[in-house]
Amino acid sequence: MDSYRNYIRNFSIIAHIDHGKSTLADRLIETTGLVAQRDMKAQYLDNMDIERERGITIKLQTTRLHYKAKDGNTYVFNLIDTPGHVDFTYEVSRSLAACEGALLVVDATQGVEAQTLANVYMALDENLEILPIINKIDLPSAHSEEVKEEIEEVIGIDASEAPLISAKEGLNIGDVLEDIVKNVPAPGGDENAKLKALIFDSYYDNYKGVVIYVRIMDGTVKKGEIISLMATGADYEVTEVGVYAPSPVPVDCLRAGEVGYICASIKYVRDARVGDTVTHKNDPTEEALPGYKPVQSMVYCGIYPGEGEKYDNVKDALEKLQVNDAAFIFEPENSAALGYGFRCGFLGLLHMEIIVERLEREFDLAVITTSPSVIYKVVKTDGTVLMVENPSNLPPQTEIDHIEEPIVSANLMIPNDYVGTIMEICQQRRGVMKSMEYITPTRVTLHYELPLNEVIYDFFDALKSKTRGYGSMDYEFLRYEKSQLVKIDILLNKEIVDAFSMIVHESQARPRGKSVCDKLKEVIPSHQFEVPIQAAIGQKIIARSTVRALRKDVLAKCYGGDISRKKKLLEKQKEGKKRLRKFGKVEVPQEAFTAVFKYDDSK
Amino acid sequence: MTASDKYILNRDLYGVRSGKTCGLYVHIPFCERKCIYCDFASYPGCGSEVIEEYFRALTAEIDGVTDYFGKNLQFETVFIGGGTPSFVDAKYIAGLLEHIPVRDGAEITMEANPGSITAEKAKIVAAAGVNRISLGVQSFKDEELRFLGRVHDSREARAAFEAVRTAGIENVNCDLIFGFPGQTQESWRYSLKTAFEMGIDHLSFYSLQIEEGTVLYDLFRRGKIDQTDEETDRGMYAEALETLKDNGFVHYEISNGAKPGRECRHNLRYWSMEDYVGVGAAAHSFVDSCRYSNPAEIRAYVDSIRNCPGESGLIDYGSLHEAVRSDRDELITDCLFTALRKGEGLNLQRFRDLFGFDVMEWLGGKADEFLRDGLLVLDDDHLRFSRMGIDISNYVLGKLI
Repeated sequence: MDSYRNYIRNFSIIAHIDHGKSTLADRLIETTGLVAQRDMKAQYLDNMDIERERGITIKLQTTRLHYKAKDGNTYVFNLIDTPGHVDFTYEVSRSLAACEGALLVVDATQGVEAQTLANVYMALDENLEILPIINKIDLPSAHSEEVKEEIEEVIGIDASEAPLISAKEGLNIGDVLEDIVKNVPAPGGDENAKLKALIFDSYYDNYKGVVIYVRIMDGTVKKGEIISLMATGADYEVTEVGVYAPSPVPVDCLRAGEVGYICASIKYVRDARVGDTVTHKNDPTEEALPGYKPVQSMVYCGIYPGEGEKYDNVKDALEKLQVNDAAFIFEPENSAALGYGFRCGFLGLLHMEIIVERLEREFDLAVITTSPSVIYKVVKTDGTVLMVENPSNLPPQTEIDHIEEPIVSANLMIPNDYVGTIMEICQQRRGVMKSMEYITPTRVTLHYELPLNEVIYDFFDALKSKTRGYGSMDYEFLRYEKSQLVKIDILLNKEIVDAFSMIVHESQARPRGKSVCDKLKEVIPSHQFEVPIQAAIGQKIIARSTVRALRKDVLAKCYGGDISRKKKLLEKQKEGKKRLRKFGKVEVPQEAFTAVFKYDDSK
Repeated sequence: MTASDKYILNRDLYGVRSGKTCGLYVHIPFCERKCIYCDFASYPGCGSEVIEEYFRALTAEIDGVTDYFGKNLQFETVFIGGGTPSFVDAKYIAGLLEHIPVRDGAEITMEANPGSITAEKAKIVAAAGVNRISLGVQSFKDEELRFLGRVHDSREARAAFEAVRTAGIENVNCDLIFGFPGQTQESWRYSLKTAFEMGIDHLSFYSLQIEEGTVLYDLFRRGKIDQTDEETDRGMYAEALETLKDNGFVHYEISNGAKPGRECRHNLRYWSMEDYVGVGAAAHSFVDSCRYSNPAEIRAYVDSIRNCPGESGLIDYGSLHEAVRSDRDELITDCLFTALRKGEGLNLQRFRDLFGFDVMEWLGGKADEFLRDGLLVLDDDHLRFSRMGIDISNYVLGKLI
């Protein structure tokens, strides 16, 4: 039967960071004539500034393309761009669930990476047809044939017909388009069945409210209908349905097999969760789509207004970000050192950095972030269990029977030259090696179990730095495990600054305490008095350093009636004040909070 | 001179024209050569034509000033600085002074370099009215003088002092610098001792500042020299204060000491929000709560005077500058910034007279911490830095203003 569905192709692009996913998306859009070349910004689908600057995709985007194939028919391509970082694995898996095929972009100079594998396995889990594509063949160091072999060997899919392209140069893009027509299956589904649509993304629009991206599995949805979101159980009236081309274009209806958007005056992104199923209120489907998973924050930190910044402004900004980011959560908290602020939960460290950066850039706010923490399971002597995501909330040692920490299963893919170095890094961070495989004679995958609090501390920086950027990793939560953990407090001028408190393994306490004391010594300016910096476990001091008292800051000459010196001094002070935060009598620059937790290559 | 409608200090209700006192600064931007630490407006290697032209402009500006402010203007203090005023022919200085109306008992200072002030020059300028000489000695160690790029040696410094005394000038200052690379506590002590043995009346002792754009800064940036560490610098400062005390000098400003009654009245004006007119390249003025300044380059300055409109050879001084009137808080911070440099500190009553309210009220508790820690001292009449406070006065000022 010649259904409209035979001319639809729903696919994603999966790739490791920097393998050229966004560039290929750009070329597909350009080649199918959707956006005139002169309007093309590099990486069209990465529309947040941060995304373009960092060269990563955070929020996935989707777009509809029309392609007139060599067989004479015009096909509708729904390209679903996916985020490329380990923090956003779940979002990737849901967007894959909306597709029938996935273009697997592999860098001809680098070969298969851990991230690639993780995404391929996800795509295979969703039964997607995988189309390997070898990119960057224009580079002198490209070794396409070996990479093809690597794909066949590692992933076990046929790569002999893989298009060899250069997305950057626009080389052989036509091959990719034909490949999609031939090898991505047309979607199934029944437009006459009861409505069943998968939410694979959503964002907030100031005028329309939450816009949800859906893949219609069965049935049809139209404006004016009452829909029901099955996981949250909420009902909404559809105000608009449409497709992205790539800006929103309203359509009459969305039918089974199609990809598009629905607006239904939904207030918060969290009300329309990724992975949830949309159906009709009055004629619901029996069974929701599989795979729905509520978002689980893995990393927490405190976000506080910087000096001179208003609490309400930070709160407003966090609310606005949350509207658009279902994975980001926050609640008010109170710090003795920093006053009123928020405890925020993130998918991972990158997610956290992005939120903080957006607060600073998009909202022009100065914020202080406290040390990132995971959630510890604290079993008290009376048998009660406490989940602690803020080190300051750890009960007194005497009330604690034991503490459990989250352990992740991590896959590290690295060139074999670095195996020794990386094993050392993992060992320093209490990793337990489970197995090791040679993917190719020069590429190795290490399987480790690692405490998450070690991973979020500086693991990525260490990995990147020690493998010159060639190492990659992904991880997922495994279990909670009992561990000898202690809380380190940092004292400035003999007073605890709770924002610096952290929970670490007993064996790491001394070096970590020392490292923090030393780093603070570097960033805290001289005061009129000496500032002792101490790291302590309970009453016991385990490390210390001292910021020497300011001895001389005086202007020798103020002559000739030229008082411009005063202006210089004032400007210097004003600039400094903005970034300083006072704890007791000690002024600490805002960057101290991040400096303390940065990876130190000299170690 | 037009100024926007901003804050006017209380005392300005009387104005310079109606007999309020005023100081005059005259800038002589010529030098034999530039010292390695110098970032002042001074230009070595200028030919006689440039000098001639410059003094013509300077004289025209002074005439413009006296014409603009009227008959009642008589300067309380005159300070001829540089550059090196002793570098040019003394007739130029004498010629200028003929155009400057001064009060009886006015303090008239001229800066001089020991390498260029001769007995003859000293006599001429003394006869023209100069009654205070400031000698740029800097050090009495020859190797230190060479390092600093000075054109004189210690023997010339002593000779210059004698020449000035012989010319009948009874008020002589000596500038010394401390805290530069190669200097030791001993050599600094020697320079201090020698200056006092010579019989100076006033001592300026400057902690070396490495300013951008100087040869010294370049040496420092390229790692050729180290900055003197703070402990050593402060040790030298303490040495200077001790020596002042031993010789019965009053430590009346951060970097200045004098025999009682020999404090530099002109410089005190800068630190007391009193009016002064600056003439010459790069000179700054503060008159009737307005600030303005001249172009720093010689050429630009001379052109500005030449292009200034006026009749029958007299420039219209009022149209020479765009005067800037500060707002109230700016004047208050100027006042604190300068007054707290003085040994006596800020006179509380004078602050009230100027602004109409109490300085402590304006500070609103910002000084409390420093008073408690003994960096600032408050008594019935004054707010001032303690000895300890002076060393980190910028840090404290930064928090106060």
